[in-house]
Amino acid sequence: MARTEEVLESAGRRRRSFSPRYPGWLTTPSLLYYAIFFLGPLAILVAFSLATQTGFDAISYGFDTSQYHLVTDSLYVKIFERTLLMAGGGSLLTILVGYPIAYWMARYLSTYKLLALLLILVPFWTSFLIRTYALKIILDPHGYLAEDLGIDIMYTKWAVAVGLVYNYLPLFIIPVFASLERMDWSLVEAATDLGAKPYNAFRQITLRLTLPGVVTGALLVFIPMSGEYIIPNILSGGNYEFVGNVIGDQFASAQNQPFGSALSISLMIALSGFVALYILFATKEERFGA
Amino acid sequence: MTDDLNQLNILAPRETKPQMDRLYHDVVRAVGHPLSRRSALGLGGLALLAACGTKTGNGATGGSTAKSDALAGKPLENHLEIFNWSEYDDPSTYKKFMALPAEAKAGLKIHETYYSSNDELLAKLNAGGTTYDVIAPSQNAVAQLIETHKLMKLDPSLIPNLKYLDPKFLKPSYDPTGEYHVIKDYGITMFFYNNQIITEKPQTMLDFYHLLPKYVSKGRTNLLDGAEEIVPLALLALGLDANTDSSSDFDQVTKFLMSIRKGVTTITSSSYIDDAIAGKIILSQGWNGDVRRIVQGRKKQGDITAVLPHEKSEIWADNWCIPATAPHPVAAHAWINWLCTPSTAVTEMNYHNYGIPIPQALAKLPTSLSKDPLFNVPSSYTDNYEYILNVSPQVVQERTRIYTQFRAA
Amino acid sequence: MSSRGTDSAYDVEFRTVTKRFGNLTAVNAVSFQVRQGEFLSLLGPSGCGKTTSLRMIAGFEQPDEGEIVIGGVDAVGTPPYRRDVNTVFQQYALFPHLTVLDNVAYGMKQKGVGRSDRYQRAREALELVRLTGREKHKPSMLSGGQQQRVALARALVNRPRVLLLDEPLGALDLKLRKEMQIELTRIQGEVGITFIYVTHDQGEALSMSDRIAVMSDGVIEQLGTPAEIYDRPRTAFVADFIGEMNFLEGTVSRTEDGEYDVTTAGGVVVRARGEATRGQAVKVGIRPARMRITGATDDGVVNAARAAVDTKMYLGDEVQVVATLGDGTQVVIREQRAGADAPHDAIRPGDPITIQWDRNAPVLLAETPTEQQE
Repeated sequence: MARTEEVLESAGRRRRSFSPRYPGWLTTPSLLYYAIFFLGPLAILVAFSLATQTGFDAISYGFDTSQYHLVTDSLYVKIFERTLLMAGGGSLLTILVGYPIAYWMARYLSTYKLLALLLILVPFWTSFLIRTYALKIILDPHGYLAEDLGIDIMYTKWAVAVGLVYNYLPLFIIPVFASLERMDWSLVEAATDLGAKPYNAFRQITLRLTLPGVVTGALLVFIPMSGEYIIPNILSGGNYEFVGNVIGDQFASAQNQPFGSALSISLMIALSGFVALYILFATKEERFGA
Repeated sequence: MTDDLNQLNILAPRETKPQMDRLYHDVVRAVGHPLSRRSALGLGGLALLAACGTKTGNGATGGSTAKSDALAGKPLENHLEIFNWSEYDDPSTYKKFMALPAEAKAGLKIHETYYSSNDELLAKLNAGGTTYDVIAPSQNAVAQLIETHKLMKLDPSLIPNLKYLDPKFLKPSYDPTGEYHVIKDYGITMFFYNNQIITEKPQTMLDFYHLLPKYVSKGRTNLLDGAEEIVPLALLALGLDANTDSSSDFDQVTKFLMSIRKGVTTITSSSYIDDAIAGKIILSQGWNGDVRRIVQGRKKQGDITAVLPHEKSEIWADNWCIPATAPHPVAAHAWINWLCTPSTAVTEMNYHNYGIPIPQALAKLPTSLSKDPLFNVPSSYTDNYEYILNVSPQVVQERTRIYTQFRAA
Repeated sequence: MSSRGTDSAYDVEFRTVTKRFGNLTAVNAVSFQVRQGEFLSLLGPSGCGKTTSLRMIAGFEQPDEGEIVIGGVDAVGTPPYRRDVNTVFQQYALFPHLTVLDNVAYGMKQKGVGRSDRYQRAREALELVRLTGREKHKPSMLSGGQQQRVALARALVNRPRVLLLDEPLGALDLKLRKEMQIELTRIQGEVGITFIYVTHDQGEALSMSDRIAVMSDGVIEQLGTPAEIYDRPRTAFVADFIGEMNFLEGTVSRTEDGEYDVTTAGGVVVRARGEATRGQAVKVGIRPARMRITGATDDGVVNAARAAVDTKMYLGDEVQVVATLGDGTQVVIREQRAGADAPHDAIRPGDPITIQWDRNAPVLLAETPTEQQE
């Protein structure tokens, strides 16, 4: 992309003429923050996961991998599968709901574009929990939706899916909106001019060029959906446990910190796999700067 | 007990929790019904994840050695730190206590903070460094706290009003010597059904389980949530020991639970109340206080039959205990003694609608309460019921495993 | 392409086409025809309606009134993808995610042309625009001129009835633009496709077009060959927009034998060939190159005026003098320098001079365009 060349070029120029050195110590506060509040808890979690429980309120630290073996028990594998499947389905639904909104805002709104964006974001400023409770009222088996429209999905996986989409939609819309904002619509005109029917022009040009935004947005919602705890708790009626709920149960009622920690670390590893895939995709996309 | 409102702790600063809880109760009250034991009270939970991290000690703090008889004759302290379920005691109980002659003279002031689940309480105490004088754990937590030496032996000489308590509640299975607790209130687990739809007359918990697969297509069915409910209740229904640690018992109960899994629509301990009052639930377990509300709420339709199970079921109790590290043990004993006063018990029962086993107090209640078997459960039933205990880490973990398997099915 | 070869003499025809955007009338009852195989430029300043006209031919905009006939068929309502026209966009609009070859083959892919066939034809098109060896590159790796060639190949490869070009050279530097102008005329000559070319650059329009439509405020001021437009501008706007023009205002004082005189307020008499109405206040235009400086100082001679020199500037082979007439009108005179000792080498600012012109130099200008067909 020409822009990249320009940037590289100007960076090169700057190096030749005037190059202020970035003082490394400026990063110290950030690094400290990360060390204490990110790496610290992670280290504790890892230490827990390798410890052995010796009684209520008593664990002995060591290098005991038995908790990880327990994670591979078919029961927990099944819950992992279900969680990732639900998060994947939720992400897909989010794409189907979010993309048209982002498209409409980016392409057809001008004066009210920022207002629309604000309205999309407003629910995000409310507590997650309160929003989910609000959803519970809407999905209530004796609410309008259930009694007048016959959509009685409370306590099913569909309720969980609706909850996932509703709560994470803004997180998806923002990056997709940004990529649609950068979209050069004359490319779509060029495509139709060259004989592409509207659907083909959308698929081959618009969707293709905003794909990086879509993938980013989908990953941005997929990750927290996979770690979801509250939504299945409130909306599934105890029927659709996510890994997060099992982890919660292990820490709370089972008082089994080693196993809860092992589950957490395993989830993190699984999700890291998806992030790695994303990075691979992003690097490939960057090469032609679409 | 993975219950809805748990996350309040994470989303709001901890110090606002009492306000948040109050807000919730105001909402619940406004909707028109009083407290439910573990729904309204059962707030919080994940906050204990935070508490876990601090210091998971090899922490056998030598609590039990705290000699209670050394307390006799010691002066009353001027402060009392209570760690309690929120809104669990009548406000006048606090005011009147501080106005008692000795307490007033000592200038005693009460400070109360709240927890929302036994797990949270346990996590707090396990983390150590607490300055609570009085706590109100449920029976399973009491057993565990005794085992881990977290409780102070009570001095009976400082609790003369113990004499009013029904002797049957002095030495329960969770505190066989009766040295560590005084019962606060108690209840039982039962079930109810819609008698317009279900024509059988189920009498036992086993009857209840057997009806689930048959009627699930006719409407919502519900089980009480939590590993410590799902598994022990099924064990009791099968005539096994609720607190068993036998793997063959666990195998049997797992098989049984999976066989009725398809008959269960929801697994919740809170939302079943409103839904049942709205007529949406046809068959469900419930705690007696909640079921009482449901029956009252459906009085007009008269279609709910509440069943106190014959044979086995669960009896539960919340209890007053003093942590081994309590800085104001004399005041704590005075508080417990005050709560055992029959007049206080009457006030309390009118407030929270759960039974306190003080015969003199029960006699002073309005008959609408004292004659209601859903409130004053006849001892012919409770004598057969069992307390569910946190027997050992292995048992608790096995229950959780079965519970997870059941929910995931 | 299917409708190619209908018997209409025109590839594109506008019949009183009007297009409004809110309160703004972008194109106002415009009519014109584009002949088969011709290179027609729509020339005008920004906002004159030329791009809107082009977009209506492409199908991106629909007219509010009137008809647009493409290949003898009314195209109003036909979407862009069903029109036998292709566009070369101002910023090229190349698909950044496709290779050069796939960009060029895109149109054929939409029409279902087989893979090897369309790549074959795409390569031929790239040869036509003289861009080979870059087939596998992404557009971002090409220079502006190369991207321009890809855009051209991508449109031409479909062999449209009409090729629409929307200021395609605007983003190129001067040297490249000159080069591409020659390329475009060469290519048009080779393929014989009708070109409709939108530009605001009169030099570009004059050098490339068969005919030029000069547009202003949503109407066509004049449509004609470059020579007609340059030599016989109908309106002051056209005269001014196409090259430089000196304007003299006055009253028609005499008409006789296919000639007329216009006398200005300063007493200058302009005599010119043509028809005019006696007594009418008019404006005449004379190109700077048609004026010359003489030594004579006679008064009362027609087609001559006395003036004072303001500035003098050498432009290589030409010299440009700006002078002020007696009535304050400023004029520009541009003369070839005959040699090192040309007479006006001695002219200095402030010197009095006399300006003369032939009687076929002045052009009578109308204030508003009159309706004209062909």
